Amino acid sequence: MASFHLSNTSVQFGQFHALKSLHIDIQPAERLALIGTSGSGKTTLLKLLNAQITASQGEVQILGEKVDTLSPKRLRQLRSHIAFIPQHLGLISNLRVFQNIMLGRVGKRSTLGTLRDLAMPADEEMQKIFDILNSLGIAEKLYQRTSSLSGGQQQRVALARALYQNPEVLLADEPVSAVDPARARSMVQLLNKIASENKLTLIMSIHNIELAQEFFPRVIGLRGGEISYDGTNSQLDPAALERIYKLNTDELSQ
Amino acid sequence: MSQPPPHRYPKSLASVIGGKRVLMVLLVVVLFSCLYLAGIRVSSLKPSEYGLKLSYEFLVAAVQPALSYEAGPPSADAPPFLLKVLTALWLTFQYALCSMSVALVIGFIGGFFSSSSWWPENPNRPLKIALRGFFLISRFVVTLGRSVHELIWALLILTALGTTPLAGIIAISIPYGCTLAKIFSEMIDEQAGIARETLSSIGAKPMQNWLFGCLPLAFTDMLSYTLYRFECALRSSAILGFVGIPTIGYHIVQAFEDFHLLELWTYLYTLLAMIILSELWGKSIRARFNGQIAEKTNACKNPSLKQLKSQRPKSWWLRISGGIALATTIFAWLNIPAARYPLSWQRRLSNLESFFQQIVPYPVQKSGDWADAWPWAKNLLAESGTEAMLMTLYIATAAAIMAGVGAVLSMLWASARLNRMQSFETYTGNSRTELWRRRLTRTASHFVLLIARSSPEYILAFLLLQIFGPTAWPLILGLAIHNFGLMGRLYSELVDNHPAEASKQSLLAGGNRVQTYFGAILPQVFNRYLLYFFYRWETCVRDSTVLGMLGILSLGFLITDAKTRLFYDNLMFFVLLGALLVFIGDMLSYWIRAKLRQLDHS
Repeated sequence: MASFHLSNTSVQFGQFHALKSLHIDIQPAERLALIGTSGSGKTTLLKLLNAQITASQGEVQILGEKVDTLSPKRLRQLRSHIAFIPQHLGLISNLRVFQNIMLGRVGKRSTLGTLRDLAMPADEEMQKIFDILNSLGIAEKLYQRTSSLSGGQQQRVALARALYQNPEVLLADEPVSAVDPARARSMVQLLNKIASENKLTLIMSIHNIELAQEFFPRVIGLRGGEISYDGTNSQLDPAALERIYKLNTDELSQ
Repeated sequence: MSQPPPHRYPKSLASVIGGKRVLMVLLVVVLFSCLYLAGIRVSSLKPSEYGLKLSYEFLVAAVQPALSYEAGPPSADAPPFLLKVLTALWLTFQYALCSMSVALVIGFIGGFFSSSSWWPENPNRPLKIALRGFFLISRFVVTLGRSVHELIWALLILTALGTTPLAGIIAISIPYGCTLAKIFSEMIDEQAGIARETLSSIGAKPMQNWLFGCLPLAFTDMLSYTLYRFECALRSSAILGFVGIPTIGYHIVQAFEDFHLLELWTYLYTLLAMIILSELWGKSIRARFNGQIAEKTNACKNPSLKQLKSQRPKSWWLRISGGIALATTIFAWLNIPAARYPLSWQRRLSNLESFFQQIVPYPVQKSGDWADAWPWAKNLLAESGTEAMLMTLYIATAAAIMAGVGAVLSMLWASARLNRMQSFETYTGNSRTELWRRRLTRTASHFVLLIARSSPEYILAFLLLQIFGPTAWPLILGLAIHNFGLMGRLYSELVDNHPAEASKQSLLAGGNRVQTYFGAILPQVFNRYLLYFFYRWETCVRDSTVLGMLGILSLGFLITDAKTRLFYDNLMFFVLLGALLVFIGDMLSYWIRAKLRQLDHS
């Protein structure tokens, strides 16, 4: 069973066609980079794969389930198996680091259960969180207020939250766009290592072509909401990159 | 040759109000128009001979506040004077604390129903209609509750239920609870976008989104606002003394009527001290929540979970403060003083029933036909209602403008960044005299602003009325002084937190403090100044509805007059007229502030 199956899928916002007739199959434990210019549809595609938005046309299957037939409850259950790291990380800055990570399981816990987790966390759950943070090199930040952490440390907290969720799929929307090249590289490397060790499906949108080619076996290039390239990283040649990135005059004036 | 593109005029508030200089001139014109229309002349702003004598004696008394009864104990069983002062102070504090605890409950419940961030993402039609219904009802109740001033609520409750110690608590709780509800709902809804994206993408229910996403993000702002409202509650509790509830305001009036000016100053000093201490306490709590005071971080290398747990950041100050606040609130509730003339509940219910019968317009009581209410209302409006309403508006507007202009100018001395030797991270010379001059100016300005905002406008107006006599000036000045202090604080935060680049450039180009303020800082923060100005103007309208209770023709005067004459239908009409005025003021200010925010973001 594929992790994701998109067949002739389009997404339209009013008159604007954000994604056009996509055909994509993504297998479990695949590691895939989404590349393309700003506005090419990368974030929209990730949101579609997270069922945050629905397709205007075509079929979308996530973890074997057709999205348009799901009840709200089933949809939430489905999302609880998919970790999503948004571009701005989406951390609750006032909460402590362990509380933010605890919220990774919010979709699998009742409201009262989550309240108890945040106020009086169980020892075994704290041990799990400590182990995750330890593997990411920031264990000592466990009880710190999240807003007091540096940008790089906050990225690791967002990753820890995703790992604590124990997901089948990890979606990341340009998580390294705002950091220096060395930190970006180490973060992408870490995400890939974690994904291969835990056999997670990893889909990441990224602007850095070098990192995409180096770490992701499969690359999808989007241009104007259409797939311009879908293949292995080794086949991503300058001609393919030019097709993805070459801007025409209209785009430049925007 | 190609034609140049046509010049497009911005369709914004800026195009209507013109440039900043035009607006400043406009505000001064509005100020003088208000004074002229209200029949207030600058020439009448001079104390009478009696007023001058009184002011002199009043100021002399300031340096020797009483520590014992000025004219000996009033009776053999009278408590020592300082004990009497402390009892009045505690009662003021007790009413404020009990009121705020009820207001917080109202604020949370009202805030929840007045916010839309807990709604499901795509509700079905019947659910959507039900949610919108709840939302609108909640907003309406919240708006009505806060449109009536706490002093008028106290008057209504005392009239409807008879003397009860709960009257003061209920009177403050209703408008404060509704204000908290409004502000809480806005603070929570502002966070809705981020929380929805974060938690709903991993399967959270809408309620979990609200509880774990929106609420924690809004928490610091909500706490900060609650602490500010507590300071306001202390002031409100003090002025409840003016309608007979024995808080410190009651003793201030008594001391003045007995001409015990030394005792009066003791009450004023203790009240100011309590308000200033509560502001400083609030400031220390806020600093710990918004990260101004950094938490202790763990210094060990490769710590174990056990080590981390035992060394996790703890703020003893927050814990002790929270514990004391909780214990004091419980103690305050358990020790509410009994009424001096207790009434049975049957009597209170019968009072209430009779009150509800009597607030129906008199012609309707007689005929039973509500059509008769219209000529009655028209008559009240024509007789004095319209004049009083306009007077209320003029007083509020004149006071707000005076306070605003004063606050804008005061920044030259009050801004911490502008009055340092290292101004805006720029070296401005080395002179010990200049260093001390700047330090002194800064501290003195902060002190003046602190005293101004800590002084309840009602008490200021009451004291000024004795000096200047029965004109509208004391009301305007009382309101202006208090708001000058508040605006000064808000403005200095703006000046000290705005991006430093332009100011730095001005100083580097050889500009002095005045040039830097007017040339570099003011243009950057002007829209935000206006935003706060209109927010305070809205509050001034609300406050000026009650200032008339001191005896100057405005809505408050008509309300007290109707109560004295037992015309409860007239009383209710003027209360509702006041609420309508506040509501219109609210809407106008809301509209202007929304436009200013747009300008600020554009």
